[in-house]
Amino acid sequence: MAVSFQLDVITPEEQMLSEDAGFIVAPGVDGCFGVLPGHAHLVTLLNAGELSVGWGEKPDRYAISGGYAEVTAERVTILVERAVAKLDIDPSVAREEMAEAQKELDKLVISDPEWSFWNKRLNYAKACLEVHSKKD
Amino acid sequence: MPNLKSLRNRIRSVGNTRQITKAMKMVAAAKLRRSQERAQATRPYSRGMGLMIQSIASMANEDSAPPLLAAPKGKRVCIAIFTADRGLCGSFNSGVIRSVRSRVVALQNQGMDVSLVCIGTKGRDVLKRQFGDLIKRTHIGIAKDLNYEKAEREVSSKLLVEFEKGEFDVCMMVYNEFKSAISQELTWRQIIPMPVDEVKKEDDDEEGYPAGAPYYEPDEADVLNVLLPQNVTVQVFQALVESDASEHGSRMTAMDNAVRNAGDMLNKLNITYNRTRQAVITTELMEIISGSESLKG
Repeated sequence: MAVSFQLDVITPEEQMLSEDAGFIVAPGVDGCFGVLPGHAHLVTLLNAGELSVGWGEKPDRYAISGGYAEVTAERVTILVERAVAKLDIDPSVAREEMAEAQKELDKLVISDPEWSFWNKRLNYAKACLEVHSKKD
Repeated sequence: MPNLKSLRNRIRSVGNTRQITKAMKMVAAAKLRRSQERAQATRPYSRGMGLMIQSIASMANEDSAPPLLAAPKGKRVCIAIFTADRGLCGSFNSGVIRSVRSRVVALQNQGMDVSLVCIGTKGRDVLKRQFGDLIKRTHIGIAKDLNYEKAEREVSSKLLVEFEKGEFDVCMMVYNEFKSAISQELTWRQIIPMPVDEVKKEDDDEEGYPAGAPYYEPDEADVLNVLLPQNVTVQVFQALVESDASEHGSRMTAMDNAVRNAGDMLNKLNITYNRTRQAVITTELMEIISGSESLKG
């Protein structure tokens, strides 16, 4: 049994990660799920939240927006619109983004096409703050 | 023989043109590098998305396929045309426009109802003369500060809403795909509904793909329903970045040619100028000599 799998985290603007990983924990829509090598073939939607990637006790943490993940025994491909490593998160920017998104959302009704756009922003900003506040 | 003053003016103006085209070439080259990186960075995402969709779509059955995947039912076609906002980039815009023209006429002959969405002003400016009433809207300045969110918000979400409302049945896009700094390839691609042939064909290329259906969370239909609109956005975004990179590549090549032409022209003009000047001097000398000769006699 392999001890690692290939992990790709891809956003439309860059290939964020392409490396071997021992385990990951990703925020699925039905709750967080962990992946170890040899996982069953799975396609899932992801919520905005924390993605942790690692080998041992101290995982690398990333904040991701909503997206998709495809898991096979040797490979995990995560497609998200935005992703950022914990170290690169600027909490003041995230807070600003969150406030702005909240303000826009208050003005809109849910059926408005703009609503989902701002909602995504809000969730991503929340995810960034949440990941940033985690102590390692 | 032109006179000396007008030649000097010509030389100065050609020199200025060369300066300008040289500057534009430099600017295009600098922008090209950034755009090219971005175009290449987008490809893995859209490929990953394509693979994910095909693995689901190949299992979805024909009758229950969502509208974004099912075969088109009506005869209304929307064409999204990606051109530049600015000219001076060789055949970049005209190639797209020529192709659109012939395609629109061909579609209309087949009894299709065509509408156009122009992304970039150059396409609209030319096409409105012939197909003014077909143009639904124009997006201007998208390529500036382009990012994924912007592409989604301004272009693809509008297309999707219109599709849901039933304003068209098929959406195609035409853009220049970036090959290298000196070559672009005009590409037509159907984005709504997603062509099923393409989905199946890609399936064969994939190696080592696990057999059998994966588990879906929440379930197959939900995943597909989120994935398909997203895919439209990705395709639109990719077309935008490819088109942007192609524009700069094309402009760089065009300006390089222009600089060279202006240089050749300058050489020729300088030769003519020197000859003319020499002729003038010779004539003046002859006049002086013949004058002094006649005084002697």
